[in-house]
Amino acid sequence: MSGREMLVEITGRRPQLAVRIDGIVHGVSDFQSLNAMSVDGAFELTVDGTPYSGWRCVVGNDVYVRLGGRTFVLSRAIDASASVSGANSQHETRADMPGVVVAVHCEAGQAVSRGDKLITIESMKLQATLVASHEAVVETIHVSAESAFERGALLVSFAGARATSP
Amino acid sequence: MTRIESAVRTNSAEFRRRYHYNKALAADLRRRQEAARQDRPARDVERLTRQGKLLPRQRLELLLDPATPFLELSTLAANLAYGGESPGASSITGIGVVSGREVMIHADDPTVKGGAWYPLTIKKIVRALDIAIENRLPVVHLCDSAGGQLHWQSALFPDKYMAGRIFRNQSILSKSGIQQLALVFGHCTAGGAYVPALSDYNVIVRGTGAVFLGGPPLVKAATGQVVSAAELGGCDLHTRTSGTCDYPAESEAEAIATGRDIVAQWARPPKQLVPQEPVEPPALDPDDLYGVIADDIKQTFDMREIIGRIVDGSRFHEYKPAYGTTLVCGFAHLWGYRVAILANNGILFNDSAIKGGHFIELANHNNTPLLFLQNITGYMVGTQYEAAGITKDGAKMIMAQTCSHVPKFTVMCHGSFGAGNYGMCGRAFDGRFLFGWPNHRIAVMGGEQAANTLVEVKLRQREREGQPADEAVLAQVREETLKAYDEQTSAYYSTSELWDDGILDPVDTRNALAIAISASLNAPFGAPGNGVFRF
Amino acid sequence: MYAERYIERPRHIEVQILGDGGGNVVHLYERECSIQRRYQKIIEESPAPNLADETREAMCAAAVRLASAARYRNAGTIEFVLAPEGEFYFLEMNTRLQVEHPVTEQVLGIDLVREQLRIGAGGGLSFTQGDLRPRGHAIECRICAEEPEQGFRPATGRVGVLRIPRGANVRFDAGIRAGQPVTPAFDSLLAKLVVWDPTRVGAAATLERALTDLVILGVPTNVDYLARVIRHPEFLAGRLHTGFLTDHVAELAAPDASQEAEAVVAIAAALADADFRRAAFAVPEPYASIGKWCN
Repeated sequence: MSGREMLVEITGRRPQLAVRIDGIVHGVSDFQSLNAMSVDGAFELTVDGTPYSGWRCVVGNDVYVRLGGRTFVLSRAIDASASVSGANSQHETRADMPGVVVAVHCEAGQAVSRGDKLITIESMKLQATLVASHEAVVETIHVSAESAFERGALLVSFAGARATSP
Repeated sequence: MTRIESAVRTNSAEFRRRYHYNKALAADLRRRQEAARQDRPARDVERLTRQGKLLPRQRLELLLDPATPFLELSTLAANLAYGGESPGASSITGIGVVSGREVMIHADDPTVKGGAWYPLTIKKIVRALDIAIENRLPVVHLCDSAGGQLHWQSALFPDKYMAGRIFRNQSILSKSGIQQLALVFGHCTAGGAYVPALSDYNVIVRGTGAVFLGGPPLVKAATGQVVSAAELGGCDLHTRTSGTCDYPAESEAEAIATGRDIVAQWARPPKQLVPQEPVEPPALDPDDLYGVIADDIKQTFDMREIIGRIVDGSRFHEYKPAYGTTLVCGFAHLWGYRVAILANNGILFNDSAIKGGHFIELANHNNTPLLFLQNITGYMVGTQYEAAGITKDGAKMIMAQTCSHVPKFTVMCHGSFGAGNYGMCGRAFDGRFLFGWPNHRIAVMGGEQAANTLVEVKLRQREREGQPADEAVLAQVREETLKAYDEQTSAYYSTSELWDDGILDPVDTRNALAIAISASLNAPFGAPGNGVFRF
Repeated sequence: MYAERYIERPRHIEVQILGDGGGNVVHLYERECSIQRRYQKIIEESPAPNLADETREAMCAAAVRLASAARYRNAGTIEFVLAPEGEFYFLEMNTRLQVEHPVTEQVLGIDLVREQLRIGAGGGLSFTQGDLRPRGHAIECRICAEEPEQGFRPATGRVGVLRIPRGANVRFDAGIRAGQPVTPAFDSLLAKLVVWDPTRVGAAATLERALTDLVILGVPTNVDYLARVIRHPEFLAGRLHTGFLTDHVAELAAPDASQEAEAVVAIAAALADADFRRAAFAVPEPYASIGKWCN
């Protein structure tokens, strides 16, 4: 929140939920049902005996909370579930199956964002366009249009790549 | 249920003496446990940190739900073995909560000789998995071990309950539908590779985690191939090519977060129901336990004073109070759960043995878990009692206790000697959990009695050989016996050999039993049935 | 080479006109648009505060003269720069309806879009200059998807929660619906919040209340910033000029929130997270009651 990292730690659950923030323990009670707590919209909460009501909305990694006529934006500090997607590591794009390159959409040195097209391949009469899984800089494109490749072949590598086995 | 009224005078000399003694024992226990948990050579800790690894207890802290209890088992395993080289037998086992689920934790301790397995390490792991099977607890393995201690191979490999039993238990857990998760933080070599392989789910950390039947040195010796640990069995190989590992992780923290998420997906079958009431702390002060427990193994104390400081509201429904008075039997609630308690106030006679057997039957019919509080030197001996059938009566009590289908829990509160240990659900009788207090002693008989017996035996021997009774020889027999017994009957010896599941500070007994009972209810009670009672 | 007079602390005043193309032009009085950031208006009002009647009349008359000389046919706005000493200079004419037209509509009770279409359809003007009687005071603020603390950098996201302030004299012209994504493909303007009140002080109070009641979550907005501007004593006194926001930048910065508010916000945010909720509520008994403990 506002560039400052805050840790919300659970310190107890009975007789009410207790959390510690910045070294101070707060008692939390009288919130709506758990179903309501998971949905965007209005919320009610009692903290340290004082009731509060406000609005809350989650968009991606950010949580917006409006309390007392003021909007706060918080981001999750660690996205622990962010990890490799599919068969590709952060530094390589490999072929899931043998095929042929239809078109190359990027070039060495190019900075790409999540979702940017890298190459289009065709295999078993099916075309697929491989996209970047996160922000990176393309280092080397190991194939060219109409070149064939085997399963597991290295297609694109990104800056910061370590040698890995297929 | 009536509230137990305390008859203890807290300002008496006896109370104060006992308090001082037991409080010191508890402090000593805490010191030894702290040392076993934390004291490690700086070199080993630094090596782990250099490798980018967390310490095993740091991993546990991240894995378990915040602000939840952890019942650690056999913290002081191997404390008197291997010259003290293996604190905790190089592993951490215990029951905790992960993503809202009760689980059994088995964690290798790489700060002790790289986490290599000693014979007692194997015994500790097998015991943890036995508990998981009996109580239907899912298991989370935190793997980071250099493999078996080759120096000790004959004591950890060939026999039925040695290393292979770990993998047999894992297979049985899986067959029973009990989930297992393995988090691979370090090397899983040879047999150790089967821990993640036999787990339903596993996560491997890139860079430091590796799984292989033969490590790089073995491969080089066998085939001449030179290969790195990562190439041979690292994260990428196993998560992409071989499929041996399910989830890659960039860091230990990520592996633990993934593991928590996996546990959160597991189905949660309903637990066995037992009668429960709202929880109430004991009305009598648990701190008094230190002053109640005798400071001499030959002295006794009233078990009701113990019960009153462990159960909810200190309320106890005593069964058959006027008969068989050396065995206290009754119902109470502990953290809300109804329990049937048997506690020794002296040796067992015909009537107390029969009462015990009958009460055990009642508890089984009532679907009530049994709690045995041991302070027993044995059954009464002598012609009068034999004629009255005390051997039969002891056998009936053992039969009822063994054939129970409700879970059994035992705490060795003071003495645990001879056949009394059997009737009161000692280790061999499949109690779900067995704990001891730091003051307790366990042996076939007391040291004094053994010394007297052996001296008597020596005397008879010398008579037969026609030699005079030699005071020096007899004294030596006496002294050696007493010394051996003193060493081998202590709570620390018992727990070192894993003859129990851990030593408890008496004031921790209530919480420990609450967790034990809760864990046991993950398994449904079996079918009732008894063997033949010799009437 | 042009040489222009440099005016310090100018006010941006503009006059709305309607012309029927036949030389008939009617003015619909003036608007003050001096509250600007990065040379873009974000708060506009009508009538302009602290404006001498003679100046107003002169400006409106000049606007009418210009538009009728051009035989202007449409709605349009003539923008002027007003110097502190009272002289005004022509800036430009916008030959279209502008974003801030609603404040004129509120003060005169006229639908400018309808009038514009009527002129376009050949119907001419539906009223004369004498029919127009301005009443009360209207203020509009532009709700934009941006981060005032980051130099008003435009932001993207999604309109996750939208709660429109209600009130008889509160008007919310929006191009957004709940659930709508906010992308870089469009301008950052999300909505216009317009209030009317018999007095300027009353309008400012109504606007402040409406900005507090307004809830737009899922994309950063300038709502709280606008509320701070409306509350500023210099704004309430009507001492405006185009450098207002720069001059008062320090006072307009977001104040620190109380520790208590931050704690409540952090807790509300944490409870939105499924993992946190599971850790908080899924722990069974007796573990939840025993709490942190180890034997």
